[in-house]
Amino acid sequence: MQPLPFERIRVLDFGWVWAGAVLGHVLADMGAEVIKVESRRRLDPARQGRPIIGDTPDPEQNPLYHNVNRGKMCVTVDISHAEGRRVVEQLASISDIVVENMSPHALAAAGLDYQNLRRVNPQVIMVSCPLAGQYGPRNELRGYGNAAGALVGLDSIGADPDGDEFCGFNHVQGDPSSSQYGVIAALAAFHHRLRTGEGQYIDLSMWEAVGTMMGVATMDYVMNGRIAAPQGNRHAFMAPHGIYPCQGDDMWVSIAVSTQEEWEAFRSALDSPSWAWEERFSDGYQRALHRRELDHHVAQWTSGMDAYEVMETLQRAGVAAMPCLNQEGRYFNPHLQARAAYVDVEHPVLGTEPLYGIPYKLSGTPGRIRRHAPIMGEHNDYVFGELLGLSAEDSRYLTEQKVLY
Amino acid sequence: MVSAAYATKLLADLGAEVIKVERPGFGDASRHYGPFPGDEPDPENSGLFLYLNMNKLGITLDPCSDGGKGILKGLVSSADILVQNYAPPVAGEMGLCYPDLQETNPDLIMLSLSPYGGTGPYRDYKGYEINAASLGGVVMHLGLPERSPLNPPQMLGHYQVAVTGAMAVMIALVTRDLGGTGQHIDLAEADSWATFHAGVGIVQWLFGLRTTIRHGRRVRGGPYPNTILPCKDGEIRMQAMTKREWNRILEMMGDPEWGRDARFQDRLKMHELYADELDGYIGAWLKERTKGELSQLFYEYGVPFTPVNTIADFVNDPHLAAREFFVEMEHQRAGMMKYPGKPYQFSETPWEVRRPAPLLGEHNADVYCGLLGYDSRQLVKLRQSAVI
Repeated sequence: MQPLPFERIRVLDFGWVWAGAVLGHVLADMGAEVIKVESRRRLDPARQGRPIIGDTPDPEQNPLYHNVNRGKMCVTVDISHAEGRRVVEQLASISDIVVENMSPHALAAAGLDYQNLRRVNPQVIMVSCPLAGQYGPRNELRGYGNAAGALVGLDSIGADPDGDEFCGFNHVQGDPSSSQYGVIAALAAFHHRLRTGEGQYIDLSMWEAVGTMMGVATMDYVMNGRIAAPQGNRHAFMAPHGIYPCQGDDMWVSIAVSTQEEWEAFRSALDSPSWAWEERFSDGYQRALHRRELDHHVAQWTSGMDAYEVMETLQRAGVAAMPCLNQEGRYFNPHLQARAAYVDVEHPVLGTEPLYGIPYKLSGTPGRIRRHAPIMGEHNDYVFGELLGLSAEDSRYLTEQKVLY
Repeated sequence: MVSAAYATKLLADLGAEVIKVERPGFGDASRHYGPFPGDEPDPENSGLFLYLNMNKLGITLDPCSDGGKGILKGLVSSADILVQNYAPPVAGEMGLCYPDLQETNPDLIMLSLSPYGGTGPYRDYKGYEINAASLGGVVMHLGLPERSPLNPPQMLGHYQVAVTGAMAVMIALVTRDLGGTGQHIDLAEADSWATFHAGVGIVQWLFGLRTTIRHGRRVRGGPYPNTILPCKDGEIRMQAMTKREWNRILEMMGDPEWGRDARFQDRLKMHELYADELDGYIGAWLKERTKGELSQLFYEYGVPFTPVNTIADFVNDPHLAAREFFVEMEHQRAGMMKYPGKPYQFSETPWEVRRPAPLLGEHNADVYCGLLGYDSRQLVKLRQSAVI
């Protein structure tokens, strides 16, 4: 197999739950040796949850964990022990990048924050990526990825404007986004280190990372004092622009028409129904003004059809349309399959499972999912024995003392 | 408009010299999008453009014109990275074709962003943000049951693919640092949603853990709670995954009687069977308190709940102010303005604001004469023939 570009990079990974873990897997997909440090004393929440096989809790059965920790090694260390701390220091001394997303003082309490780790490894790059960052009046704020969306206004803007009930923005934006910012920062620091030899610390806040994506709403508030309200599927100037019902249970298709040329193509694709020639739909301005009536007509047309049939009919005419796909729909979609959005990986407990693939297609060094997510402590022997040179006897002793635990 | 511009903004903020190439006369579409101060359209005063293009130089160029092709070649040979988001067929017509550009500059890293990507059966299909979000699955997470799924607000898909794209560029750049050559990166907005964002759901569905989504306030699956409930003056987002957190919630609420109910000890079961009843208890407690009071309580007790903020709450937040998250910058037309700022803070290398977004063609002379070596007479000619 082709060598991977990051084989010379070693990552010490304290990332847990979701955001912290993604950082490491992105680097692992490109060849980095990522050593995830976990402890049975405080199990990663991503290892918990309902088991898929059997009824007893099993840390090896959580699909989230399997996706975001693929390609990594796992060692077990209880960092509240002094000996555990020493083991981690040794690991940090041979690592390039350290990643963590615990609450701000957790690693400092164990003497393993950046100030301490740089003493054993002055060139180390460390990324911390909890919810609220390292300093500021709310730095200890706790919360998961959804909380970041609530804090920056996504929930208030992402709700359904015409629904009877407030629903917020129930997609977890925080973790998958902020973790990618974390990779950008870690690699920018690595790029700098290659030129200068200088390591550094990166303070990343999930709240702020998601906040940078609120461009229009922030600027409209700053410029005009306007507080953004939910828009649903309405677009500033496109109409029709929406998600319309199709044949089947909870099946939908999205359609977006931007230019007059696209509108004419849309009309022809529908065999020129009489409503489409009405004055109130004649140009973009008129259509936007009468979008409700327009949406009603479009929905009537789509509701008798299969979502893929709508897509094919409209795309043939050069109009943007795409089925709205749930998990099953995505898994079987020929385009996502052709682009390897999901890749089968063998897991020792769950068997074959489709993990999400690498969306960026690098022509020279595409990377790959190298192996399944690690079993708890799977690499203790390799890491403690071969990398750190710990004797079998010491290793057994520390395991019995619940240090390597 | 957004995706390529935001990807390169992330690089510009970390010190890269980013040259933004715009269409002569009209400029980037985001110049016409707004918001505009006082709602008065002005291509030099669009909030979206000003935000996405700070720290960049701006030039105008028609790459399809005869003179334009040569200029593009000159720019490419001087660049490390090229980012573009034209639909695959259009990019080809404009000469933004990697194998050709690589002949000019073998070390070039090129990022192509598009709705569906440069390969696969839909590569030539038309798509806007809402269509990419549909194929990528995220729309199925949003909205109310029995009603239409929703497109993510704020052009989130464009920002999202930009972040993934900038990350891929950094991967390619470090790969090159370590001895590799240039390469092309093909990234689809739909794929960005389908993987990092909605990809975990595939195994969950396949093994029967979660088959349906979009349940309104409540997110199905996992431990109780994971929902939004109203308080006295707004809404509260509540999610707790660990037993420790649940215990802190009960402690914060004064250790209520129902917390000891035998039915409420397994939080997976609580979510599945008793969520409505539990929402009733917690909801009644929330109803008596304001967002402000609750925020303070959540913080004191270490409870991972948050108020549902408006955009005004976000922009005026004291924590973000203490961290100097928002940045202020003077722009010729817009004046002093506040913008979202740094997503990360580096201890040794800067994230900094160096210059406001460029006026259309503001740096033509600097780039064409300074970088590419044209003299001022040639510059006038290029302008007259509408090449720039």
